[in-house]
Amino acid sequence: MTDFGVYTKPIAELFADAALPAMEDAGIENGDVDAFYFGNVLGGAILNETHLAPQVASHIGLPPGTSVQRYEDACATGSLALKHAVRAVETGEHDVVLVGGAERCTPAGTGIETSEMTRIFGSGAHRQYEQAPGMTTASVFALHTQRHMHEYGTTEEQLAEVAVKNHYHGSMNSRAQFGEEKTVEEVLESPVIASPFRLLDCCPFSDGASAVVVVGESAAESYGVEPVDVAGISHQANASPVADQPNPPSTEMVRRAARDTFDQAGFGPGDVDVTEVHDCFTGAEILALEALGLVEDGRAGPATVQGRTRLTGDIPVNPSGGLKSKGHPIGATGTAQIVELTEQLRGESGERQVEDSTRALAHNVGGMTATAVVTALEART
Amino acid sequence: MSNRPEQGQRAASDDESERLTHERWTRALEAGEPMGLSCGDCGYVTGTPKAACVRCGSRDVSTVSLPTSGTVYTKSTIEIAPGNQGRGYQIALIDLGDARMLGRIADGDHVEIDDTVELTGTYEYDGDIVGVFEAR
Ligand SMILES: [Zn+2]
Repeated sequence: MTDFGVYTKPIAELFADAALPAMEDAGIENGDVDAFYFGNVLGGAILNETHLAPQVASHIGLPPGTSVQRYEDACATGSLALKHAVRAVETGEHDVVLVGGAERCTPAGTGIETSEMTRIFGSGAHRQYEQAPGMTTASVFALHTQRHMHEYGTTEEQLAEVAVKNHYHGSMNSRAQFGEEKTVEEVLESPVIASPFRLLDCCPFSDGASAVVVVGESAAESYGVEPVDVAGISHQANASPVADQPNPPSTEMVRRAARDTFDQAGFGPGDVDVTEVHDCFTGAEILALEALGLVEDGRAGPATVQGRTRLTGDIPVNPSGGLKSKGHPIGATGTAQIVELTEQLRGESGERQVEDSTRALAHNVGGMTATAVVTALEART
Repeated sequence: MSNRPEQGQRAASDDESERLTHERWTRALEAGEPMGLSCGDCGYVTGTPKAACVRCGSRDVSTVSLPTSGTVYTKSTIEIAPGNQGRGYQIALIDLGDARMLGRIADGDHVEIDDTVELTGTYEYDGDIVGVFEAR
């Protein structure tokens, strides 16, 4: 994967910076790739570029005959592409699939001002019943979080602790867009975006790319590298508009996806050593910890304050710094989580290594809490 | 009694002229008489148009009148928004009887969770109409 930040280079060049090293790391040649699943969300709206898969495949030199396709499922795009890659390999349709994503959506890199970018980001909301009253991406998670605060007593200070923890983790990640540490006071003094979220409760606009290679179980070791197993992956949807979601702050689709993924993997939330969650907003991490079953409902705020989700805690969450610190180039986020967890399971994460990790979990949410993908990874022993 | 249609006939609820469309929903809202859909199979009531039940998939859905006053389920005040939306406005998920609907809170008003609110008008954004609510 690339460093996350601000880029002005073409999407294909940005993706090449992630894909070519990923293929080298996997020990595969371009001619080995049977299929290429590419994630990109806002190319049409921002860069006037759609149908990007053939263009990107051509740029990185995938031969004619490679099956190429673009995926778009809002912020869960990369994980949806990964799910299709895993299923294609499982069913024997393909043996080797390159999967990843790239996005250019920063105001600084595109020249689009923040309010217009906020409108474009809001395109994942229902036009008639959500965009019209004024819902934004931040405000859907804000609505869930306000209700969570009302029901469980979750506080703004507890939300701020999520940001502080993720910036601390990000300070050890050279790829992070905002890798400097923050204090609770700095978070609480930053301007309101959508209450209860302040600027430092929100992930940034980011550019970047990420890629992974998925191969069949028996072929994995023939490439002479250290693979990790996809132990389970599940994609579940929720109603749109949010008004029709059952118990909205429960992010019910995450609960279904987690149950299904743990069933496939043969282990449960208590067995997970390291987790990457979709912390687009601090409140989103609180909801994720509970929906995944890592802590009981209503306890994610206190668990965060107690340090349980820090690198040194008993349930380390977002060692990469998460979307909050590392950044969130939308279509690249899902597979960036997989890159982080693969490195964690291989023991390659340096200063931010979670010791003796053998089981990992990724949580990627898209749109107005209408899509979730939960993925379980396991080290080969 | 049985009101199941004979094969080849269409159930009343499957008749497009009876369906709760966006246009019909909008006109009702503008008249101050909000409409939703009630499911004859699972009982779920939705506050916005659908072609079938969002919970169980049943086509046996019929339009129902929704009350004009309800309770705030959750809310947020938005400071950073698309340019034409302004800033510092509040949105809220509002329980109107058995249905839940996202509404806009009247400019200058401020609501909390569990407050009682009343539909007092509509707001137009980019050609679409939504309900405006005020604390009672
Ligand atoms: Zn139903």
